[in-house]
Order: sequence, then structure tokens, then C-alpha cells
Amino acid sequence: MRRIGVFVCHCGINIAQTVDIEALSEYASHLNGVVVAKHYKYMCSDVGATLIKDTIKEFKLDGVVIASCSPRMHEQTFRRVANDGGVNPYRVEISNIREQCSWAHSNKEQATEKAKYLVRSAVSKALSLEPLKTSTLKVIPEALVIGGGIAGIQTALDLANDGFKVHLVEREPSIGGHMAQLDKTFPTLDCSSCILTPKMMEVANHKNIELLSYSEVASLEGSIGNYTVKIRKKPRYVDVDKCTGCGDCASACRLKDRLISEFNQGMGKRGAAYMPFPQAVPLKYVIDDKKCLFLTKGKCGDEPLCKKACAAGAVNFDQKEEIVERKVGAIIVATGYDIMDPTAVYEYGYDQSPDVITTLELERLISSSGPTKGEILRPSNQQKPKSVTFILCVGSRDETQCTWCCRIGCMTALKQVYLLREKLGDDVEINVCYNDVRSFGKGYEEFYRKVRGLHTNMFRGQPSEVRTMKENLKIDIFDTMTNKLFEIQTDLVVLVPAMMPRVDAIEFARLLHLTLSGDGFFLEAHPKLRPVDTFVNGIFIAGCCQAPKDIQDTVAQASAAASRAATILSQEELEIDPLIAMVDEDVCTGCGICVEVCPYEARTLNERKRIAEVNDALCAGCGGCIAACPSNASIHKNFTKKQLLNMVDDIM
Amino acid sequence: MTQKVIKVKDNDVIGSTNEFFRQLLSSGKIQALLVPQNTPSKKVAFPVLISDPKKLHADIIAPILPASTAAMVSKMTKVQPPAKPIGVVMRSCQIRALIELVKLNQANLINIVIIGVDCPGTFPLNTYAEFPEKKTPTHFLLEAWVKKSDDAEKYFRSVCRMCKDPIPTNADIILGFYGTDFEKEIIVEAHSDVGKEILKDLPLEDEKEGKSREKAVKEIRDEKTKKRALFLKEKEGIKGIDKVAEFFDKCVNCHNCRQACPICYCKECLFDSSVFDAEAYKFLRRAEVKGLFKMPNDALLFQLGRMNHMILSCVECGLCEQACPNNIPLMEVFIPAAENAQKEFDYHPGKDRTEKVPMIVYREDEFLEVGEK
Repeated sequence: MRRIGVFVCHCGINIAQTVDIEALSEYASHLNGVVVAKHYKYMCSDVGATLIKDTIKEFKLDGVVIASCSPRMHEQTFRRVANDGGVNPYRVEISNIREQCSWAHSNKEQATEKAKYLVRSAVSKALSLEPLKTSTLKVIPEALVIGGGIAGIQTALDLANDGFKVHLVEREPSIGGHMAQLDKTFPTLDCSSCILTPKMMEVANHKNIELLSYSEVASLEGSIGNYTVKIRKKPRYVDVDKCTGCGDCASACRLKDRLISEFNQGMGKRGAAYMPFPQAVPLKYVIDDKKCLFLTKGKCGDEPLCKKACAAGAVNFDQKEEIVERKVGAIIVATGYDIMDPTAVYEYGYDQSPDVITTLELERLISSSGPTKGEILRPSNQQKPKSVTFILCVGSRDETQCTWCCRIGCMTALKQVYLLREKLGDDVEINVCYNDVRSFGKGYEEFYRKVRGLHTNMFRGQPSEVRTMKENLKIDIFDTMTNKLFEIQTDLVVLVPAMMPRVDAIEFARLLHLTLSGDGFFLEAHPKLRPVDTFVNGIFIAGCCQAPKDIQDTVAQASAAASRAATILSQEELEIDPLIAMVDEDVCTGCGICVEVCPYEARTLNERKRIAEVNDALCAGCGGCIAACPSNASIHKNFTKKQLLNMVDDIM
Repeated sequence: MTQKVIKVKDNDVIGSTNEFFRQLLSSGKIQALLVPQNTPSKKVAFPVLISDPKKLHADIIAPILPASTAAMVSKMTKVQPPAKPIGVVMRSCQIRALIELVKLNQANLINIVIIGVDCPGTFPLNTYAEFPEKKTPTHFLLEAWVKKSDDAEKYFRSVCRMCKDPIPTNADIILGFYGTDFEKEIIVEAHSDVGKEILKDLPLEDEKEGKSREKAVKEIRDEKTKKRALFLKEKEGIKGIDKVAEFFDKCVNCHNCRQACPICYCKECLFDSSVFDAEAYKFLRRAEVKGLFKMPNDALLFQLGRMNHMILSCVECGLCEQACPNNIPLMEVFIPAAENAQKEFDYHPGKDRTEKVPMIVYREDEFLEVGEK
């Protein structure tokens, strides 16, 4: 005969004010298989835990039912307590009488009745719970960081400094990401390169970091503690071991200054042999295989000039794509964001006039290492503008585009106003069309005040249109502060576009089995309590791939992700939760439906035995295979059909 | 496709097909043949696996489907397929079932040569066994078929009257009776390379004119489709739990239907397991909830559970109905259910081996009305 103890928690007054605790305990004590029922104000407290442990010993309990809050809150706590008391931790059943009863009802009598059914049902399950054992898995103390922007750089450095080997994968020829494109950062106006470049150099030189630039993740297998990653190294056509970064190849390239520079957001030019920017890491040249004459047409004059020019003999057109494999224990995804193409908001004429630009394009114009060497010139005529107008929230907070706030637009525009005032002087008119100025961070509001003092014309409202005129641009805006319609004539319009998930976020999510939130960014496991975890154990997210954020928050999140990964990597072995699927070999027909259904690739078909098998380390216990199996061959440990039916029977 | 004909001697249709099968076996290209043959009592015709041409007295027209041929092929091939080709003579519904079983990893088509036979329809097993007419069921049927009369119609199983498609698809070889004067010639078509290779050296004559076959096939398909559509319209009424419960009133939970169903491939049916066993107090509690509780307790649960498990692959062979000891007209519920469920997933059981069963296909835009937009 089983010996179950029921422990009813008051949760202060959270449960006690709607459920008659005394009556519930009294009822529970008479249930089939129950030998004792007790109640206490806070079961999760030390005193509560002691009460449980002492009762287990006194009544020689072999199973425990806790009637309390959601198992998501304290199931682990109570498993530990039961284990300490001598009961198998998987013989603990939580009856959620808070979220599913006291919080949901107001009638005490009826709520108490319902609580009795819930507890009765939990006891029924507890009676059939099997004692389970955890198994262990060896951890590979290395990490993979995907994305070499500031988030990836910070995570990689943190982990490398903790003593873990880090493989940093960046798909562009250089790390640095969007931050490398910025001139100064708000609100302190630090020079972006000055604070980023040392970190990039540290990555390049760190003994624990392997930088895999111009590379992409091709496939992922395995599970927490033991992932196998295949990485596709794209050919640079430049031997990185020989390249000295002298730039002779770029100077010699027949296409020099004839191709659009992505790094300069199209404001500058480059050749087919190029380095994205002077501080690039690795400081190695790359040949653009989509543009290079020799690689696309097979012919570049009599011979490729870059090859001729390279004294080190680094140019190598025979390079091929290469797949390398790395084994890691944890993965941090820091793949960043895309900027919305403002053409989508067609009324602002981004594709109509060259003088309608984005903040990132202006950033390149402001930058002293940019295409204009820091001079602010109108793209249409290379003249200094006499009037500049910013339009905020282009696509952001917009039901037809992106419903979310980009969180950096206001401050980016204010920073650029400040820098323009510095560069262009007081004579230039600067207008800002905003909805609300969101200056929420440390020092942001103060910076906003400072910029307002720089004779900035602030219009509250969203312009209806930007019209391209012969000489300049015209903007109609209804200012909701003065309730007046203004027509602004301006030379340069700067759009602040929305921050979007990466265009390939969906495919990438599939590759890693990650979940996306409704907006298309990667979904965290809990918005408050597990902000950098994902639903895949051992994979973490940092930076703007999770949601828009500024550099401050990105770096904080990157360090958080590194710390979460280190928690895994610092352990020699990991325990595997035994609440996973298993196969009844006598019942399984080997149809393979579960194999196809499993989102974690935890199931395989054993062709010889003609049955499905479960990889314990990969199984996340989601139950998909259980639902898909028409017979009772797929079994979820301690969530068997029998156990669930028992619960149903006893809740009727 | 290669089209040839078997010349029928002395109007002996069955004899001529058997001559063809004997040649096939003697050619050595297949090592055995699974083909319906009357039992010594002549009361039923069961598929037999024949390796000796001398023992062959098959009756491929015999209007009876005593058990699922697809399930037999599954049994023979799933553990290990044959090393040399075996010919399996099947009706269209059984080929459809076999294709489903292949998708579900329960049968293997390696070295299986599917010989499909045009099916005019089958009689219930008991009708066949105690056939009231003077002639044998086969001769009665052939005569009606030749005369194009409705004489056999009244004996057909209801599901055969509105057959989803009486013409075999996915066969390597088809023996055709529609669109030919089969008392003189039976059509033999090769629909695969394997089929062509097998027919190559057999003493068959070339088909002279193929148009009449095409036309007749279209006619019979249209006729059956029309009947099925009419039936579906008529049976729309069985909806809601009360009507469904009433429909299964006579179910004694014997699970014969599951045993007969070619799609029910589970080794142990969930409803045969101990999952639904419970303590007496639970039965009593169930009774207390409503004051009474119908026994056997899980008959309706079984019927709906089985339907839920197999309906997307239901090929409408009607073997469940034939197996029911209490004559519950199961197809009245299963055909409409299959029609609707398969339409929801745009799924066509038995049509194409590469079409994945809906359970393993993930589509983001499916059932938007029940989930997130």
C-alpha cells in the first residue's frame, strides 16, 4: 500500500482567503492512499520544507502531493525537499490550487470544492508515479558564439576570459557589426570605433577565441553540453595567413571604387578586392565573388591585377568553400538585426530623392573615416545642407509595418542633431518630427534636454508626405502641440527606420530549433525570469536578435548570456531530466511517425529492431511523439496515459 | 505504358487469366503469386500464395474480399522483403491500402509486383458463401457484366456500389475488363518498368485499339463518383455526439473492425491495452456523475478513437463493415468522415507513395481558425 502525504499551502492569503484550508486538509487526509495531510502558511519557506521532511520521516511517506502554486514556480523546490526527506523527487505531484483555483474564483465555498477535486486528482496521479533516476552527460567546455557584433564580441570575450574556448562565427568578412558603422554613441558621445576596436583586437588576439569570419553555421546536431556544429567557411580568395593587409590588391582591382560599399550603407564605393573598413578584424582583404570579373566571367584582362599586385602571393582564386566541424557545450546566438527598408513607407520618398537618407547612412557621412571624411554633404549635389529634417518612427510603432518601438531611434536622432550642430554650425536649421521622445535610459533625458537647447525645431506628429522638389524637399506636418499645419522646406531628410528581425531569422531559427515571437525576433524562455535562455537547453540569445535594444542593454545582455553559458560549461557533467519520452518496444510498430514529428531530432528508427528509439539527451519532454503515436508505444515517463486518465477520473 | 491482350479461349475468362498466371509463374520472372483462389469448399475465395503453377486455379473475378490483401502483403514484407519478385493480385482499394502501409513503414514494395485487377464490386462474405442464385457468384457476376445488367448490383456490398475508384492505380500490371469484350480479350497493361519487363516475353497479343478502354474507365469512374456524391449528401445527417452514440448503439466492443481494417497497423491497439482498466470506485463515480453509465464503457470511445487514428488513411474498402457481427453500417459514418477529414488536409490516401501522411506534415497556414493567426 502506498503512503502519500498531502501538504496544503496557504500562500499567505493568496490561497487561504478563497479556499478553506482546514476543510481541504481534512478532506485530503481521508483520500485513498493518503496517510497524512498538513497545511502551513508558506510551504516553500524553510519552515515549510522542514515540516515536509519531518512528516515524510514520521509517517514513512513514499509520495508527496503539494497543493500550492503553479508547478512552474516551485516544483523544483519541492522535488529537492522530498529528495532530502527520502522520497524519490519524481514522486512529487503539485496540485495547482492558486493560479487554477483561488486566484480564479471568489466564492469560497465553490473554490474549496474545486480545490478538493484538484487535490483528489493529484493524489490519484501521485499513487501511480514511478520513482525515476536522472542520468548524466559529459559537458564539452567550449562555446559557439554566432554573430560578431558587439553582443557576440562581448559574450565571446566574457567566456574566453572565464577560461572557456570560444568559437566565434561571423558571416561578414569582419566582426564589428552595426556598432562599427557608428560614429559616436549616445548619450556620452564616445567615439564608437574607439571603444569597439580594442575589443575587436582582443578577440583577434585572445588565446581562447577562434574567430571564424566570413563563415556561417550550416547545421547543428546534439544537445546541451554536447553539440556538433558544422560551419561553412566561405572562400575569401585571399590566403589569410599570407595577407598582410597592405591594400595593394584593392588599389589594383579593375573595379576599384565602382561597387557599392555595404559598410558605408551605399554612401561610398569599393572594389571587388576590398576590406570593409580600415579597422576590420581580421585585417585581411576579401574578394567579392559576386562581382569580381575573374570569378564571375573567368577573365579579368590578361590576368587579375590583384594577383599581380600582391607581393605576398596571398590572392588565391582556387579557394573553395570549406565545412569545418566543432563540438561545443553551449551556444550563444547574437545575430543582430536588419534595418527596415524605408521604401516600404513610400510617402517619405526614400527611393525618389537621394537627399532622403537613413540615420545609418547619415552616420557614415558624419564618420571621419566615412566616404566624405566626416563632411556633411547632400548626396544630390555634394553641397552642405542649410536645413536638415529628421523623421522618427519610420515603420516603427506602425500597425502597417512594425508594431514595436525600435528603442534607439529617438536617441540616435538626438545624437545626430547634436553632431550636426557641431559640424554645420548654428546657421543650419534642424527639424525633428517625432511622436514621443523616448529617452528612458541613464543620462538619456539629460541629453534630450541638452539637444532641445540647440535651437532644434521639434514638431510633434508624423509627416504625411515628403515631396521631392526641384531644389529641395517639402514636408507637410501637422504639429499636435500647436495644432497647426506646417510646411517645412528642407535640404536633407533623415529617416529613422524601424529595427527588424534578420530577414533569414526564420530559416536560422529552424536550423537551431529556436522559437520566434510574434514580431519575428527570437523568443526568450521567459520575458522576465529567463531573458537570455531559449526553449532549447544550452542555447542562449543576446542583443538585437531577441528584440531591439541599445548598445548598453546589448552588452549587459551579452554578459548575461555568457554567464548563463558558463553555468553549463563549468560543470563536468549535466543531469538529464528523466521526465522524457520512452518507447515500449513490444508495442512499437516502427511506423516512424514520431521520428518525423519530433522537433528536437531526439527520435530515430532502429531499422533492425523495427522500433523507434529516444535519445535521452535530446528529448525535451514536449510530448509531441506521445500525441502522434496511435498505440501506447510512445510513453511520457510519469505522464502516461494511464496516469492522466486516473487524474481525469478523479477530477470528475 | 504497354498495352497487350490475353486472348480468351471458349469464353472461359477465368481459365484464360489462369493460363496467363501459369505462364507468368513458369517464366521464372516471379517466384510466387498471391492470388484469390476458392477454398476446397468453394464457399469463399481467399488469397493464396502459390509457387507451383500446377496448383493454380485462381479466380480473380470472385466477387469477394474476405480480408485485407494489403495487410497480407504487409505481413509478408515488413520484416524482410522477398529476395525475388512476388506477384500480388489486388483490387484497387487494397492497392490504396498497401500504399498507405508502405508510407507507414508497415510494408515494403521491394520485389513486390502489384497486379491490379479491374473490380466490378464484391459481395458480402456471407452472401458469397451462401449464394442464392443457381450459378456461382463469379459466373453470375460475369454474366451480368457482359449483359451490362443491374442483376449483380443488389448483391454488392454498399461500399462497392460507390467505390472511390474501381480501376487500379499504382499497379505494375493491370488486368482490364472495362472497355473490352472480355469474353474474347482481356486487357493487360504494364504501368512500370518492372511490369514491362515481366510482360515482355509472355505470349500476349498487341492491343489494336485503346480508346474504348479509356472511355469505359471514365464512364465507370463517373458512375461510381456520382453514386458516392449522392450518398455523401444523404448521410450528412449523422452529426453531433447524440446521433453518433445512437449510430454505434449496437457496438459490443469486439474490435473486429480494427482487426479487419488494413490501416489499423498497431501491434497492440490502445483500446486493447490496460490503459482503460480502472478500479471499481471509478466506475461507480462515473455512474454517480450522471446517475447511469452505459457498459461496455469504452465502445464509443474505441470507435471514435479508432476513427481518429485511421480516418486520414481510410481507403474505403469497407472491411470494417463486413467484419461487424452486428451489421452496423460503419461506412455510413466512415465515408463522410474520411471525405471531410482528407479534404481538410488535401490528402489522398493510396494515391502517391511520396505524399506524406498529414500527421508528419507541418503547415503554418493550417487551421488558422483554431490557432493563432
